[in-house]
Amino acid sequence: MSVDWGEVYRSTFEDLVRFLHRKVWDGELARDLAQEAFVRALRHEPEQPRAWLFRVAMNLARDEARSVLRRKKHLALLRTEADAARPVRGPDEAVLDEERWDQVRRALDALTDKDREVLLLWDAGLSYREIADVTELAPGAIGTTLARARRRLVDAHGEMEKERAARN
Amino acid sequence: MRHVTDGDLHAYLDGALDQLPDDRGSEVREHLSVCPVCRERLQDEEGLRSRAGEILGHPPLEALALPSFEDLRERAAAPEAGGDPHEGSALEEARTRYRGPIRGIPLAWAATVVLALGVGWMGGEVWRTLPQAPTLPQEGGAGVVNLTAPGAGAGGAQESSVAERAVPTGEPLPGEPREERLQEVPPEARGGEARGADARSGDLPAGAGRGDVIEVQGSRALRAESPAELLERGRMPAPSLAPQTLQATGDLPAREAEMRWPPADAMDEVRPLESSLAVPGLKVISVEWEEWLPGERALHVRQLLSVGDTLELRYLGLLMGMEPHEEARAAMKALVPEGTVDRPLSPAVLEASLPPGWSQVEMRWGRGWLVARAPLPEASIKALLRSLR
Repeated sequence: MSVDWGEVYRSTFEDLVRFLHRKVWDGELARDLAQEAFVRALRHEPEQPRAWLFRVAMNLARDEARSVLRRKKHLALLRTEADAARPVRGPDEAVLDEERWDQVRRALDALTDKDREVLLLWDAGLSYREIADVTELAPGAIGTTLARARRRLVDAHGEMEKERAARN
Repeated sequence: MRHVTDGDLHAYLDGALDQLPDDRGSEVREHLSVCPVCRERLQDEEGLRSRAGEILGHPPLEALALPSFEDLRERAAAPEAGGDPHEGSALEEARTRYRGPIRGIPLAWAATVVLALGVGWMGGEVWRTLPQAPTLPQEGGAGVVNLTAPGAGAGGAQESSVAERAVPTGEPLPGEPREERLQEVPPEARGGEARGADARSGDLPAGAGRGDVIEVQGSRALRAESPAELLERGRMPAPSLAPQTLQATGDLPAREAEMRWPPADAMDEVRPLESSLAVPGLKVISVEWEEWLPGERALHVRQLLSVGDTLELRYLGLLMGMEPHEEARAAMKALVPEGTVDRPLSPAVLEASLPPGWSQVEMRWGRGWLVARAPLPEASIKALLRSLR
């Protein structure tokens, strides 16, 4: 089956960057990793391009995370990425935005790796079948995983909101 | 009657019932049509799903310049390098984008190649040459200038090409990638200064190499010396090119005048640099002028990162080193456009002394270079630099 790679690019590339952004928390790094995944896909021409792209992207992000872990610079990375993510804004807005993304990241950290991956893949626009292909879960388990992941995300985020309210 | 699971409800909400195995999708639809309990649960799960979506939000990617499909196809069509699976890949390119043109070359060799050509600071980037015929630099791009100087010494008035050098032009915004494509030192050029010189500057006077004297603009004869020779004469601070602060050079009485730095007439240009060369929000640990080689100075700002590490910012500008090499500088200015800088204390030389685990990012800054180093990924350093004024 011939793949229209131009169409794959149009329908997938931004989703891939967004997916990776929540894995590495660095917009430009996410773009670079997405680019790498896409270039590899163009070279290998897999039959299921979207699932293949996200699987490779996931591995690239995992490699990158290991590299970051080795440098033990999570906090600095977060901080700088928060800077990177901001266009020019007022200081109040900037602080709010930084807090918001920090909360999202911490809430996602409360999920298991598998739940987080399934949730992010769904959020990036993959179908249940594609998510099953990427994660090697049974298609029938995707809904259950998503339900659990969403609940944990909402609960974890809710806890943080309460803590923040208590601090203020 | 068996109620549907939460997973089934989410599959329903996600429009994925048809993707469930067997005939499960039909069963779920049928059950929901008759079961008020599950319909109520469906409403709860819908609220949960919606809330999760709100929390995730959309990462702000608007400011990112995404590659076009044509760019990606072009990259994919480029031949894959062997060995390192990342070599030649887009990721590797991204990782090296902000690095200097030479990576991993031992600093001693870097200094040797520079000095062996006997053109002092004018040969600061002599190994960064391009093989093609020299052309004039174009605005907004990279060019190659062939430095030629009339020999004014005993050798007569023939034209001697002393070095080719790549001259990056244009002023990328802070954080933007440098566009110039400079060639790395080929392995054979790293084998020694004489071979390096031969490989890079075919127009060198026959037989010229280490130990020879080459006339530059007829104004200054600089003898080619090895770092070891320079060290013996006390002209180089340390083999590793570790910098001394200017205050620390007070034991060299012959250079007292040089230590009055920056000169009063340059302060108007220097003061704004001192005040702007710091990332807002990070504590400044120190600001000092340091000297890596005689006359090769950098404005060095150290800031404290949130996890206790240090961010080093250095400005390498045209002002640095003007005093001891003023004549050569004047010759240089006559040959290359104002604002382009190449010298022994270059981003590439700094990179060669990077501590393990550190990264370096460079960008054009005013009339020189800003070099930022920290034990962080390049992307993180780059992000920090965006907040510079």
